[in-house]
Amino acid sequence: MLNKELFNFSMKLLLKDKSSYIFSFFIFSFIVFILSSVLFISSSIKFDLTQALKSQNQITIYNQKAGHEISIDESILDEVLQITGISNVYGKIDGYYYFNSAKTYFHIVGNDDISEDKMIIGQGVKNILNQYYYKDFFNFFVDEQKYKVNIKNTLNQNANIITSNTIVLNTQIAQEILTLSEDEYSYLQVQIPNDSEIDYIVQSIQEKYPNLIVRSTSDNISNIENLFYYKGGIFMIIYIVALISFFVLLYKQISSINSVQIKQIAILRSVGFSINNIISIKFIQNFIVSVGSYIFAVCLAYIYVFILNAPILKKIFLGLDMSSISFTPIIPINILVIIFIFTVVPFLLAIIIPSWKTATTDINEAMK
Amino acid sequence: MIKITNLNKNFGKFKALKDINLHIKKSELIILKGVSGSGKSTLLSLIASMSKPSSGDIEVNNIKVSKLPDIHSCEYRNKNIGFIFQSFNLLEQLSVSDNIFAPLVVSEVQNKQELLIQAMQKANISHKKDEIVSNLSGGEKQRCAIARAIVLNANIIIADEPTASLDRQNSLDFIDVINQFKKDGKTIIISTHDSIFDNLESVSRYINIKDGQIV
Repeated sequence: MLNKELFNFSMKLLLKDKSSYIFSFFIFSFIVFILSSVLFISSSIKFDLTQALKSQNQITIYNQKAGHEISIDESILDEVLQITGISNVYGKIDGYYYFNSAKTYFHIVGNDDISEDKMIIGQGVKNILNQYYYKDFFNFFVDEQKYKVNIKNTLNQNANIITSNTIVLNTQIAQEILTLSEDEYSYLQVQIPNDSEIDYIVQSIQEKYPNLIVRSTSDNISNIENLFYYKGGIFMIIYIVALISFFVLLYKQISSINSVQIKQIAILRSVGFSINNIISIKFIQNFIVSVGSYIFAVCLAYIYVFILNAPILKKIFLGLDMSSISFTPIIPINILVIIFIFTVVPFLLAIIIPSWKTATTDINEAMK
Repeated sequence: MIKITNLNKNFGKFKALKDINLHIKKSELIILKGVSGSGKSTLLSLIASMSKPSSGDIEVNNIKVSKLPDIHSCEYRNKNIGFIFQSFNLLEQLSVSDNIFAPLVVSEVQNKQELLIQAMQKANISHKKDEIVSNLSGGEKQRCAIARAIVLNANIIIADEPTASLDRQNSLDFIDVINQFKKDGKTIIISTHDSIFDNLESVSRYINIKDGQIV
């Protein structure tokens, strides 16, 4: 039976034995911190990418040759528009400009609403241009021709992964910089008034143009979901580190039922504590340690990722080019719950089972 | 009050107690005598329901305590038994008052603080109530153990070699405490081979145990 006195007594024992719990607290915190940080980063990136895709039209059409994406001709735009169920088709200019001095790529996006001599840049682009003294303008060099474009403004300070290395240019200028002709687009976006017809229209376009890649927004979101391959690379290393740490912790927990702890349990049993009382004490103590360190580690991971911008891990995940982006604060509650279940529960079992075993042994033998 | 019938306790092939039959009346002071390993401590732990007999029965106030499931044997121990161990068996890292309070934690009595203060006063350890047990002398630890044993007004006091870790003066002080318990009407069972308990007026019976048998 759990009562106030039992709780207070458990706390007294916990505080008196705190040195033996400090190791558990820090190892547990380390594991949860690592896992939570990785999840915060991946969830944030996924969220940004998914949001960007959701803002697009329902179907995107790419051209390909030899397995590589190539530009798509305007004539296809007119033909696609004839398919029943499609209300509009837009040609999009989207590609990469290589800035040789910084040895980095800028993401170029065409937009009809911007004048030819102006551009809007992402925070990451701004940082790079500043390093090369391009404060107010930038010179694009394409086929020995120079395009001087003034910087109109910068995209949101809280730049996310999508906008950080992006330059929004007038569509015509973007076409010239990306060496596309006037009747060439990077891809087409198709607007469909009735969502239930999307799959049918994807199929219709695909049948008509077997060489084109036709993807619905939901297809693209599914691809984003698989962006972080959980069984490979960095994830695998991080999970193995966390797993090994966790097993070290469990081993420590199990072996922590040492002679002192055994005697303590026996003494309590001798003055009338039942097996349930002993398990309650151990549960209270280790629940406080594990849940306390879990909350501590999740808060620490939140600060590390969303306030300090995940130094080291950000470079591992996004590379040096993305050093200026901020992660959109996203908390994947369901995954945090899974981490809780798969860490706190085994942790508690690893102490409660040996304690129960000790509590059921002969009191006299245990006290020797 | 305590009726022991055909009691046997085996540890593997070793027979620690053989066919013990004993009847202890209320308010008796019993001294169990015998050399080390004769089975005295085993008998005490069986009476306190800290271990189960291999065969036979122990009845306390007409309740077969040897057959009680854990939850009830704990309750029996908590309410009826005050056990004083040779090595005191205190929680060394806790204070004196926390140690004495331990039996009260799982008790359903109401006036817990009052009982705690009374027990500390009776055992003359109130002045050390906030002291960590590991800092106490042997005599002080003994008084702390006594206070813990009587905090719930147990009607059976069991002491296993209570003076083995004490000097003569502390041993005499302990005998004074035991005499007081006797006056209070408690049933007391002490196992010892200390001669200081010989020829005590208050002792009801001396029982010798040899090789697990009453002789």
